[in-house]
Amino acid sequence: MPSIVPIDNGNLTKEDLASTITTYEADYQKVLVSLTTDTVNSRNLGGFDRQPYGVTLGLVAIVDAGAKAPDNATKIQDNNTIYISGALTPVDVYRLPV
Amino acid sequence: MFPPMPSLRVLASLMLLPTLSGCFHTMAPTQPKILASAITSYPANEYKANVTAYRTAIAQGTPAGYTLARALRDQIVYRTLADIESTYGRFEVRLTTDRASESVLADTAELGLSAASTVVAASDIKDILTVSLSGLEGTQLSFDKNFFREKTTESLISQMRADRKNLEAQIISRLAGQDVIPTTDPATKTNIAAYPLDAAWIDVIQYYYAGTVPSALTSIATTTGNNATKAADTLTKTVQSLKPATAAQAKSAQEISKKLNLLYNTATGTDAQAAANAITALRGILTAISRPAADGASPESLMDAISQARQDASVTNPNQDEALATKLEAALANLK
Repeated sequence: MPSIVPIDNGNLTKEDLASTITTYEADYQKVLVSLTTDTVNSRNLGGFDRQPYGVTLGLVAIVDAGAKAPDNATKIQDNNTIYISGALTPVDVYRLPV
Repeated sequence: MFPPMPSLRVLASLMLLPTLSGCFHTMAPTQPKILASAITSYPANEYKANVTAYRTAIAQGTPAGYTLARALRDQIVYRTLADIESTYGRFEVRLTTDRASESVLADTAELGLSAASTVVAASDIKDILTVSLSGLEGTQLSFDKNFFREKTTESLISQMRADRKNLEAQIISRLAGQDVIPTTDPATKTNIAAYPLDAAWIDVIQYYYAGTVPSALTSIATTTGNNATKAADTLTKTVQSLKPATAAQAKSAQEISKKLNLLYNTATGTDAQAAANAITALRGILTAISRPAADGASPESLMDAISQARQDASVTNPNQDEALATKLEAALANLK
């Protein structure tokens, strides 16, 4: 069962949110499995599973929903509405290759 | 006029007396004769004689007197504990039986009244029965709420047992380790406080009250309060959001993971020499951050320790250990 972690205060840009998730994954040996919102506190919540040792994860990338996918990226979530720069925004979440 | 509630309870009790009278024997086996209260009890006259003998022995002020006083103290306390234990065992069984019987009686009376109210045609009698039923249900709820704070019998007994065991252990430990007068430990030369009969008696009284329902309710409330405070603290920490990280920090964290994973794969690989070197490197990281690993630690546990340090020092951690972050950065910078 993934642990749910409040990631931000809902005011980060797509790039900063992706960087924060990537850093958390690397430092905490976790892997992002879901990205949801806490509408009461207007912030984003990440669902994370334990990442086994020996396998390095690629960076997380967040783009506007429907935008062109980064090269060779794997989609984690499709057309997901989360807080970006304080506003609910539909996005796609990708994992870049290592 | 409505019939008074006690009459209903008495009536229901009389109806169920033959059934409930056998319940005690289904709750516990027959007590062996050697455990009968007459044998385990500690009569007041014997207690008084022992206390007088204890005081006389103390008044002698001689080593022999203190030795005798200690033996008397132990005897008085252990006999009282045995007496309390014997009574408590029966109390537990009775608490379970009485509460269950109370519930059965109330349920039966409620069912009877409910059934009667549906078959009685006369409106007035029907109203009386319906109101009586509500009153009986209320009485049962009030009984549970006011006497037992709506706690189950099992939770009360469990709390009483836990509290009694803690106090019993404390008393036995003090009796074994402390004399009736202050002494000095010959090995450590430290002073050992006295544990005279009067001090032991205070503990014995506490031990007795630990086996009561009010004490159990207070303990449960205290534990619940402490747990709630801890939960609130945990919640406050948990609800803190992560600190934002930059793209450069994300890239750096990923690079470190890549190097550590490579070391881990080497440490668990088939090349023994390379594995030994990798383990040495992993251990070196932990030594550099003043968290040395235990001898013979596995690659998995070394990675666990490094991972814990990375979490503590993470730029996303709202409670980041910045001193550790500096050390860890230096240690990881040397990784190839």
